[in-house]
Amino acid sequence: MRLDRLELELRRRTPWEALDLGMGMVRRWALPVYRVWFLFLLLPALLILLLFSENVWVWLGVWWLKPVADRLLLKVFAEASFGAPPTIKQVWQSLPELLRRSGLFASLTWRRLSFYRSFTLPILQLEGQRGEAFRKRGRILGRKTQGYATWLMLVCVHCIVIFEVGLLLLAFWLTPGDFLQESLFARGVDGAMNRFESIFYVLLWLSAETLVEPFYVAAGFSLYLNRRSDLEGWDIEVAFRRMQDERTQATPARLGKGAASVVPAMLLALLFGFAAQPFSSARAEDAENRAPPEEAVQAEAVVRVEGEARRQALSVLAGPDFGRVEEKTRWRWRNQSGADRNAQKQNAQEQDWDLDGSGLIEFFGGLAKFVRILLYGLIVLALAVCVVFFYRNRALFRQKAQPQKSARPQTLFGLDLRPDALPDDIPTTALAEAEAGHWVAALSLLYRGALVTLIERDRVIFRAGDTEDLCLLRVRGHVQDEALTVFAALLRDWKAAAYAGSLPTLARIRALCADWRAHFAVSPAAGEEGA
Amino acid sequence: MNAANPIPRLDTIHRVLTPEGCELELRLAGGIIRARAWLIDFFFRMLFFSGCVFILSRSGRMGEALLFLLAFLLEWLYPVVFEVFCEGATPGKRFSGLVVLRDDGTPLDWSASVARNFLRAVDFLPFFYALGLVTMGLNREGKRLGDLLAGTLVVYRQTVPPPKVMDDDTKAEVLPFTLTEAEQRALIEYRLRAPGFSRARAGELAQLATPLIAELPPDAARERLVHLGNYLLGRGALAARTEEAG
Repeated sequence: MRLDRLELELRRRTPWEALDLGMGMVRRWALPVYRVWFLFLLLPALLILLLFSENVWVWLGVWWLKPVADRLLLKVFAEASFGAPPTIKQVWQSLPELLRRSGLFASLTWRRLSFYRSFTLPILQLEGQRGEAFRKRGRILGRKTQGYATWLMLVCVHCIVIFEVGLLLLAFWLTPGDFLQESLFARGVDGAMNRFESIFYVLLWLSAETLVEPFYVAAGFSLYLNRRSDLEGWDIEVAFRRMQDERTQATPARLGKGAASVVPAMLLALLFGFAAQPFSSARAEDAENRAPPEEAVQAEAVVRVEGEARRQALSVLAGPDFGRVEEKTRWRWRNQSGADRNAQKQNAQEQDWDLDGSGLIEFFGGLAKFVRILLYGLIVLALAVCVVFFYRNRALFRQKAQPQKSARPQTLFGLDLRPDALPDDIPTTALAEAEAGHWVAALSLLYRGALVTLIERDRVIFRAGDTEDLCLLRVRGHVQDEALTVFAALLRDWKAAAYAGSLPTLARIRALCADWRAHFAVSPAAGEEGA
Repeated sequence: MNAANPIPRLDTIHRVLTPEGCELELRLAGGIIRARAWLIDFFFRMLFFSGCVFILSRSGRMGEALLFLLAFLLEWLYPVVFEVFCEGATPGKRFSGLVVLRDDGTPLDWSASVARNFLRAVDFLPFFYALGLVTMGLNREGKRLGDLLAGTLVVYRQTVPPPKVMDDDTKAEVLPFTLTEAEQRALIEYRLRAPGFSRARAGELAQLATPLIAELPPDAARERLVHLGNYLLGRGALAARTEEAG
């Protein structure tokens, strides 16, 4: 195996990418692939199917023989991948060998319905593995790949159906008049397909196969190559050989000795082969179901058989299998008067579609619609106004939220500031403490009380790390000047007592208490007085 | 093939040259995985829609009207909205590791996404994306009509992850001579994947790198290449002997 001859870029790929590469292979080798396809596969299949087009079993047989087509296609892809796409003559000559030596019997019997058909084919055909060896090899290669092969199968099967139905619809749309419908659905009395219909379906199916089958084989082959390249390091082999050639100009020892080697030419060719999809009768039914009821009616008109046959045909058509009652739901006005209904009946041709009764109803309907649109518009407008309003004033909401966010400090410089930790009547308590000789406690009480009042009443914002002077700064502007003076004096005395140990006189404490009562008391009475 | 061959080897890479002179390699995604992504998206949409049917069908005519609106929006805007706001991938594409980019590798914008998704209506003709599937087969980048119109690509989001080192061989040897970039890559690739090869195959491969391994037998050759690879990967400690050699 001369890997350096491989026309596919060797690199690490995901299996998905390997499947994608299959499409690239079909495109690059479209000529060698499709000439083989048309000559050896499509042509025989077409001939056979056209000759026996009414026989569903022949269709099934051709479909069943699809593995034969896969072998021919794989031969072309495999040899093209190594730079030598086979000519028509070469393919012809290799036919007998391909048929005999590619495990065709198993593929046509118990392996016919395998999901990994195109993925395992290279193991049979190129590696020549059989029996237990084949199963073992399939397990190794399929370990990480079978899921992808299944996806490939599923997508391809669906693609065939999609292309068939697509072509059918296209034919319907593009043929003028009812020619196609009449020809397709003019069934004989026994309900068998007519000749035109069967030929038409044969062409649809083979066209779909033409689009899908080469890709299916190429993608399976690509998946196989990718897995082997992964397992055996083909990309590394090529790179190492190149290094060898470049560094040691002597002995271009290129002779491939990779693991299993591609057994060249092994395919075959049958005069007919392929298959696709469970089709035949199922397909015919399908097409009929798809036909809308109008077409069924037209089909009735097409039966132009005379006499007894005609009578029978009409009686069959009138039977429950053909005639059917349909329940249709549609919109209509609720309060329609009898007169309106009569008017509508006279207007029989538009009956199915239009909703309008008389001009009056139309007018009011229009008016109602207009008003409704107006209302909806107003609702939308109101919503928009709300959104704009909230958006413009978003700062407002944010500010309000802020003070709550930064919770008032529980303590400042070690002093307990919770309101419930303080006595109700602070000046009296403080004076009592001072007279008892607890000077610092008295001052502390006053100071804390003042702070709590400032926080609660005047909404001054203190932070947990504030110093005394910072507190003074913060208070400025929040209270009147006299209160500020009192607070400043209190602060001065507190600092002197707390940090310098110089105690104020009892008279001074008394004066402070009086001032405190005037400016910082929060009792309801004091609050009203202040106001 | 070789330099002599003008036809490049077959691959699914789309190369983009940026204005800075960088070459980006985008890995094009083909039909199979895109069909899978579509299927997943379809499943999600159905799930969501049937949930809405369950809820809205109890709210009378208003609910019916909303359902029709919803069906319309799901059909037309689902891919557009996801591709614009979720880095160019609908949920299905994200699960499949796909992303939609413009031809020059830049992210999708509204106009491109709207163009490629609204043209689904045409790709869908005549039946279930038949036209789109055929178009995808006809151009190298695997574009359907919507992609052609919008100038977009569907590519794989991530590079193929390198295999994890599966052994604990941490010895390293200095390279005997300077290797080209391609050779270094091959060596690193060998080092990472060697534990996954069969023993015979690993030895056989190693012996192909004649300039690096001289006349060593297969197993020793394999070991030496692994050590050289460790050196390139920055794995493990250098043995004193090889330091002298270096």
